[in-house]
Amino acid sequence: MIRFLIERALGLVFVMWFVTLIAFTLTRLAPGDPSAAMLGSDATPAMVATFRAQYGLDGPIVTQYVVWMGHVLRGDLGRSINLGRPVTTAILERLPVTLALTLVAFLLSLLIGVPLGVIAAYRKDTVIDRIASLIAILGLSLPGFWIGIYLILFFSLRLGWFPSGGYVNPLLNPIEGLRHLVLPGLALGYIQAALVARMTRAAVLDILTLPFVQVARAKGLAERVVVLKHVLKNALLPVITVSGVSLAVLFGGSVVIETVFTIPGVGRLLISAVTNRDFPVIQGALLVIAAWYALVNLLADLLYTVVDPRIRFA
Amino acid sequence: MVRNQVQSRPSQDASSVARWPFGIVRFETRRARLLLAALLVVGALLPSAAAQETRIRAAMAGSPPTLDFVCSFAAQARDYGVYIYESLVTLAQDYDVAPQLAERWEVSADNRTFTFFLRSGARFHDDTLVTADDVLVSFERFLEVSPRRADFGAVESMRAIDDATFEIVLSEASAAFLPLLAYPGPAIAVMPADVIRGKACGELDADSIIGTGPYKLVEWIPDQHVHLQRFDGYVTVDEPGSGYAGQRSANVRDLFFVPVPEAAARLAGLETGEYDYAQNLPADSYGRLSANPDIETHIIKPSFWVAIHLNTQNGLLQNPLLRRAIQVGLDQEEIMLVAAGGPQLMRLDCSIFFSEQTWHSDVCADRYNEYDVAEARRLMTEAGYANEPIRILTASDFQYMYLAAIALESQLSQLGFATELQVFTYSAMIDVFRNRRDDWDISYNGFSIRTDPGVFATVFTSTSGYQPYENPEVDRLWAVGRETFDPADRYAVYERIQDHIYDDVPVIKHGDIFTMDGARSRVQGFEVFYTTPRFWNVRLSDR
Repeated sequence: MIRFLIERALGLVFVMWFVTLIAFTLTRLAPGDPSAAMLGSDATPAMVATFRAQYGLDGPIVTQYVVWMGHVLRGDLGRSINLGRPVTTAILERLPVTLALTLVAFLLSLLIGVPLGVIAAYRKDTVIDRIASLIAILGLSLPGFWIGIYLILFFSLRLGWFPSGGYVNPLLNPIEGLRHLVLPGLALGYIQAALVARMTRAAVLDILTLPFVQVARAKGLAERVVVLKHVLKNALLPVITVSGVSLAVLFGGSVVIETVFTIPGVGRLLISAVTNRDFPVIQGALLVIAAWYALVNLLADLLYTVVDPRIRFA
Repeated sequence: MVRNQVQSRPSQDASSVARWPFGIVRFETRRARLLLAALLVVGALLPSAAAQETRIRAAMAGSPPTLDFVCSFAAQARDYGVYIYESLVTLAQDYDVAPQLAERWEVSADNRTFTFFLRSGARFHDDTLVTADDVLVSFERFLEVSPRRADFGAVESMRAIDDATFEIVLSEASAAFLPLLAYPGPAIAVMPADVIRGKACGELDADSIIGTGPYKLVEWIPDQHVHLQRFDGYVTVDEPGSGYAGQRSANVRDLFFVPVPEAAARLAGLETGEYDYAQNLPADSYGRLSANPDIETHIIKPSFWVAIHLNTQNGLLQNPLLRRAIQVGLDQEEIMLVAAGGPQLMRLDCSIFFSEQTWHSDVCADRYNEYDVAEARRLMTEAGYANEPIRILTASDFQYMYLAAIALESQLSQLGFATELQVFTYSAMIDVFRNRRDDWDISYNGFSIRTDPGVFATVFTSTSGYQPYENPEVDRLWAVGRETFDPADRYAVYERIQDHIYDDVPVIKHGDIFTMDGARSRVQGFEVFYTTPRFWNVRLSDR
């Protein structure tokens, strides 16, 4: 276990370093720099030169990378050109918002996906199975922003049940907070729900054919107990795999949903930074998202041993 | 023995509630608990009527990069700053200079010394009185940290003569000085000397955002909202409200500015009533909003004007005949209808100044929107045009630019030009515009300058650096304009500049474009000015 953790930690360091290279290089390869976005077309060359010098954009690219990495290693992600504030502060302010949205989307994806998959498996080859599969396929086919827009049109504009966007801190106002997260959570989590449903259906179908399920039924256990205590527990392993990936993807996928629903999270910060060519924020946000991916995948791997005691790390 | 026998509870009486001591209600049955939960949820979902009456929630197109007003060019900073801060002078409805913190001023005979007399009783949000020393320190800080400090390069000295009198001496006379002082982008916001002394941009915390405006900052959560609240110590000027000047009564107690970058989201929030006001709405929603009895549309007129730069120094359009061919052959009305999305959001006008401004002129009318296809083709033949492609730069993230470029490309093709449309993000477009001068012939831009004409000098002079236009006579006229103080003479100078621009054709104006905001009908007395929604002097009805 210790060896496994050490190996994963070393791998994580390498991955994060690689992400810094990608983040740094890609932002500078794209045409346009912060001076274009901030100063516009009417700036004089002198104004542009002053601006670039002020933000360290005038040196060789390798020097800029080394300087930036030096700050990153000390925990300093730099200063936002557009916001004039530390990148770390800007991200930490918005991180709870994105985490709240991600968590709601994740829970919804499980609440929708697992029952849907179980029902589809139990009603295999029936109309219910077809409907459940169709719902899952639609979830995999439709883009999240499209779903989000139609959720707004129907549930917000037409019915007035939910707000069309915005964010209220659920810790300060749970009901309003959750009201504001339901539609974006659905839009974000629906695609993952489809994945979870399909994975659950396949796993449950496999488990249902195993002899221990027949033994459980023969013992007289209620079908509910058979499903929840025996079938689902064994079907969980592949579901955990998918859910772990889902949790990671949801965080990164919040970028579009936060924009559609005007949620002030890390995703929206990243979009704004890309528009304004705010290099430090782009780089910092990408690092945070990459770190989230890596950590969640690690946690998912560790969770396997809890769910299935047979699994040991070599 | 029967397994799993549930110990049954005593049967309930007919009532689904019981009472604990002190009259506290206890809900006994599942149905009663569900009813209570439903009532709580519904109650929580209903917005507080009292809160509605005292607040406005406005959906804004952007987020302020900072509330330290002097540190940012961004329009978003101005949108909020005008509530919190005041300057010595500001803009009236006709974009002329009007008093604000200075109730009057005197100018020396040589036009170099300006003496400002402060409005008596003006207070900061921390309840301290404004003195000339605060003005002095505010100016000194502005000249040190503001990105706009170069506008005041002629300031030679400043001093506080006494608590209520402030003096500025210029190294050379400039007719542009007062208009530049009044320009709000950013204005020289007067703040308490003790709070801002020695502070660079980014060093003021939220508690230091202190001005003299009718509203004070309560809370700023980036990307969530800016909450302003009426400043009870504000003494409004006893003059009719005009632009940012005159009476500014904070009748609505709380203002919540919510950044909502997506136009569709602002529109949806306005229609559902989440927002009382929404900025910069899609043009195609005009009909729907106009038909909604609960919503009033407000056309922001003027907003900016749409133009194309022609590359006079590189490539095909160095040839003045070809530039003239494009100028004479365009149907500007068609281009503007496409760009603006409707006739109510555009205006055909040739002047580089808006018709609402003092400097507006029709001297260019004979060379604008001529739409003479035959003449255009004749000029192309005379120029020896050999079907080389005209490369047009436009930006995808500014819809009016993108749509105008599509319409322009179509018209140029009909005239007989080969065209190549290059679509970039705005930042990338600027990069090509500035640094790859051989790679474009036409580039889009939008202008919104409504202050002193001298500001245009950065665009249309040979020393500007990035704008490919050189005319020594125009350079000379810009300098003359700065030194001319008689309004009529100054007007004549800028009219001649416009005449030269229309002869040389370094730029072709398509027309004026307006934007559209929307407000719930409960917001009464709202009037548009500049691009900033003004919520002073408005009232909320019960609807």
